[in-house]
Amino acid sequence: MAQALLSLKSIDTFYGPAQVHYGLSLDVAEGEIVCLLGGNASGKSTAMKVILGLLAPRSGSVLWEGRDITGLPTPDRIGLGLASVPEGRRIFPDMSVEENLLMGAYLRRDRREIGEDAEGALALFPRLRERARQAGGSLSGGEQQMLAIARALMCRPRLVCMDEPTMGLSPSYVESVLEAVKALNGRGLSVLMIEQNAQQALGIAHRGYVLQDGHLVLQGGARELLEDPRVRDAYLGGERMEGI
Amino acid sequence: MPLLECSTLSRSFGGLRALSDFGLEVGSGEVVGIIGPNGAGKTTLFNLISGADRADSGRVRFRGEDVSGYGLDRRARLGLVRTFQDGRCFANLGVEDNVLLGAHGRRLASRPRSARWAIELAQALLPLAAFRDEERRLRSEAATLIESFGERLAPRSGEKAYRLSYANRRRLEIARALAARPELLLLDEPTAGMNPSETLELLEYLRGLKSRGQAMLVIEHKLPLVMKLSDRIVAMDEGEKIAEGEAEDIVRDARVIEAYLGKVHSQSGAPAREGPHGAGPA
Amino acid sequence: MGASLQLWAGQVLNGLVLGNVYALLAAGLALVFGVARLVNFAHGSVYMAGSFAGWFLVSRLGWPLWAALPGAAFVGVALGLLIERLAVRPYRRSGGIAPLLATLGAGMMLDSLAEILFSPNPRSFPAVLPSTRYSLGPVSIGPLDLLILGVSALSAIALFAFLKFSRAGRGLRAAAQDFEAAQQMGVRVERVGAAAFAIASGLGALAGALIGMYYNFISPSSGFEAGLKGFTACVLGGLGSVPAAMAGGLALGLGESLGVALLGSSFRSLISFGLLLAVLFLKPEGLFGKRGGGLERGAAVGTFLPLRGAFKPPRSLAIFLAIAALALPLVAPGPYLLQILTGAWISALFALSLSFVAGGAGVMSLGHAGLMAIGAYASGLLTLKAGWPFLPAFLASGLVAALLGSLLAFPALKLKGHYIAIAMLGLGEIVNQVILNWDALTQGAMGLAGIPAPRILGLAITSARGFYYLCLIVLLGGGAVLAAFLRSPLGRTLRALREDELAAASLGIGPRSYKSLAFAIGAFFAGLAGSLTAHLYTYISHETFGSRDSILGLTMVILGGLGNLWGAVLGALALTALPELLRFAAQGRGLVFGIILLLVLRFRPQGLLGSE
Repeated sequence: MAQALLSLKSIDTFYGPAQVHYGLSLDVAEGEIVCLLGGNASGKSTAMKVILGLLAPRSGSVLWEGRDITGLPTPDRIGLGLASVPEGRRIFPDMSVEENLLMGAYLRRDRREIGEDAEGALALFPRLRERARQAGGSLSGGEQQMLAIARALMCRPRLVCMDEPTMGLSPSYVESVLEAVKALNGRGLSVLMIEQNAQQALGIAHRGYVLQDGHLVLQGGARELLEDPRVRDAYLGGERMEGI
Repeated sequence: MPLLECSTLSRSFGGLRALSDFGLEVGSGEVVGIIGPNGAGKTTLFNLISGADRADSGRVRFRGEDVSGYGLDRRARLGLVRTFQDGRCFANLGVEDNVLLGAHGRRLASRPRSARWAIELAQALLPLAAFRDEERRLRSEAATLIESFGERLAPRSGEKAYRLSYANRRRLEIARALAARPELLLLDEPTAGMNPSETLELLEYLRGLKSRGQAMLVIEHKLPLVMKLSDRIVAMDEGEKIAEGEAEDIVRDARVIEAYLGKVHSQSGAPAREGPHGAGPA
Repeated sequence: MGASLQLWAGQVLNGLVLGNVYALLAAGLALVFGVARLVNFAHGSVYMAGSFAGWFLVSRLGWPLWAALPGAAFVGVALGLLIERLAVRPYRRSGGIAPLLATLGAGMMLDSLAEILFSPNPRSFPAVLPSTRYSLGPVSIGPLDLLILGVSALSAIALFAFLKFSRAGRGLRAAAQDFEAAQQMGVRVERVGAAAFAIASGLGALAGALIGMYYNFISPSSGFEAGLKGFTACVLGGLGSVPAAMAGGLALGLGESLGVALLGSSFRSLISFGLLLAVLFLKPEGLFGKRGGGLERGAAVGTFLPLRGAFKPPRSLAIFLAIAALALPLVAPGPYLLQILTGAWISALFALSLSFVAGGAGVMSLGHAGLMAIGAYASGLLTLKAGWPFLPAFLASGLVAALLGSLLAFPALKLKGHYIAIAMLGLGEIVNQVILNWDALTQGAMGLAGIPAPRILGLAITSARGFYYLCLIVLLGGGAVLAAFLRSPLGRTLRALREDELAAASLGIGPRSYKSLAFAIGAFFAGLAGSLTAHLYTYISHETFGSRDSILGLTMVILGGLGNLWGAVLGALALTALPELLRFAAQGRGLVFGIILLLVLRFRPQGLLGSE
């Protein structure tokens, strides 16, 4: 089997005294769209922090192409080809759309090519082109999400981690975002999508993992998970509540 | 007259509507559960009810009094006490001290409020019998509360709170809130971070409180717990109330399921699948 | 009519020139705050260093201005990098107000270093520009004015260009807008922090050199006030943004100059600090800022310490120490030791008071010496002018300090994080400025001389032994009372407030009212300490108690252990009596104390005896 691009192996994470992950393991292979699903307090967003290096796990390792990057600081991970679309977009509110895109390419020095990539990003999201000079904070939620994705692409990543890209978006924007992700994946980008919105995410993914209270309770192909009633239980708190 | 009455509460942050036109009532002795996915506005609601934040519009009435303009501490003194999602104990104070602080509003020094400075100074400097008796009484009440958690807190009653386990700290926070003898107790995810057996234990404890007539408003994600505890459940999504009613109905409500699991991706063309009682897919 | 128009025009020009320099200062503060979420209390000292660097390069090395000004800026850059590396980065992890206190310590060290190198006396900055003046309508403008306006404008443009168009500047702005997102773009946030400090300090030092030239006056003690003016400008404009802060600087310069034109030059500082407090109390986000700009979410004062078990001496030891202290005069070889310890007892009383307020209730009272000033003047005036006997005046001084102090501090207590620290600093300064300017009451700059010796039961206390006993007994009494407070339910309530204000409020504890009470109690004892000082020295002025004493007091308290009463006494002894006994040069002390503060904050933040 081909080596996974990104792997988590037996990750235990803590926030102070509270344990957030219990032996979490997952893989993303090159060219895949993988979903990480779960309800509130399932630990899925914290997983993204661990992957990006914003939070250190107490045990376990993060691997990139088989190489242990658990101790590598965040900027170095970006340099390897990992990009992020943070939860809540986190675009820079007082910077223009163009400047936000430039920030995505912060680690690059090839100015002409950065400019070309920015053009490409705006072509992919025409609504952004119209607002190229506008401040990021004045865009609507959906537009900000587009911008956050475009920004992540600016460093020419191999894998993008997206944290709840459809949260708070209207149905039509949700459509657009998911279509964009699919299109990008078609061009070779690997995606790890952390989502609460299981139906939507599984609709475009290859595989999925389901977290509940920090434990991995289900995994498999996207199609199978879509049909599996246990996914719903995991969200609404079923099997793990023995005795109730 | 309902114990708590919220009407048309709204709160926005920047352009984001955290809470829209929200209304809620809690009666004496009632337990109401609040559920909803991430970002639904539950914590905002709690902040507005408890006084940690002020609403942009709408009113909060507690025991008939309009408390919309009151701060956190003033509402607490009226009997509206809350706990926090992250279990905020006074880490460097002892277990007993934590619980004693809960009784602050019931001390002589708090009544009458206008003389509180004088009374506090007097209590510190003059060994009057009234003060001694009050301390003794409050300590024994605190001990009772600590013991109500059985073997969990009582053996550790002399320790500082930071040495307690996570679950114990949450219990301590509840004991401290109960020391205030609240009319309405607001519990913000009381079992967050607890394992199944701890959760079960706390559920039993809360049911005990309920049977003794304690009114509670509980935010929780663990649906089975909320179902077993609440008289009524209110479901929220995107700052609005989407359903309200008895537990069994709420859990089968199509809108609730949709809020948690999301709509079916409409690109496939299939409409959201609903059963006769609003059951979800599969 | 023509003459007064000229006067006003002159003041406007003066205001613009000053305003530009304030803008430079404020820009630096805003830049650091935006990126590092930190209020840099060493900024004023860097300004002072810049003024000396400029002077040195021009008058000692004979450099031309076009080289000396960049040279001064360069010194600033170097200092900024040094401060960031040694006094900011190591303390980030401690969180809370540790970085704030560390920068205070760094500032103290810089000021002391300047005193050692250049002596505490002010100097003049030799004129290097022709003194011709040109008429521009009603205004008479000189080359120096033009230079300052030109240099500030150039610097502002350079700063904007850097921030707007360069990659590094973009990274800086991104980090200021969203720290974590910037990290996720690959921004190395430490380097960004260091860069911000470097630029800010370069601008600050440049401002110092320019003002030194403008007023033909530089002094090692000019840093503190400059820093405070920088804060004022920032707060006036709005701390989050560089342009807003610069606008605030201009507004401050104009406001100050016009105020001086109306009221007189001795009111200059009073006007500035009055503006500072007015803005903080009425519109903390500043004229151009948005609500919730970020300072309010700042450091929760007093909760950065890993409070684990304070060492409290057992009762027998406590009694033994008290008896030993009381018996000391019987075996002392001469008055010298007693005099030193008397000073230490007064400092200890001050430290106790500060420890109670800062440690007991979590209110970072950075202007605490102002309370001593109030008590000293109350007692001095009552005995000297109103003929009161000592004991009633003594007690009244405590009460006046308590009442006046809590009244002044009350509006500040609703502020959070860094705002309250700045407000307290400003309040302390305002007390001295009011004392200076209210001639009718305080005799202004002349001070109060001839304050009578204390008379208790007919006996006048004039000997070293007499004062020793008086101060020691007051200290023991004060310590006992404060200890009783800390042991009582009030103490428990205050500790809860310090631990977690939100949780305390959720239980019905009114934060503002309890903090005020704690402040009033502490102020009472600080007032008593002031009264003792007044009667011991027999002469006081607006210079007797200053920010230096406040910061020294804070160092004592942190050294001993925040909230630990015995620690406060130990800290006072260590930093007052010990240096005297070791014949430590007066000038090196700030340096040593700054180092002590930084070391304690880094390696033993709970202090020698642990925090309570």
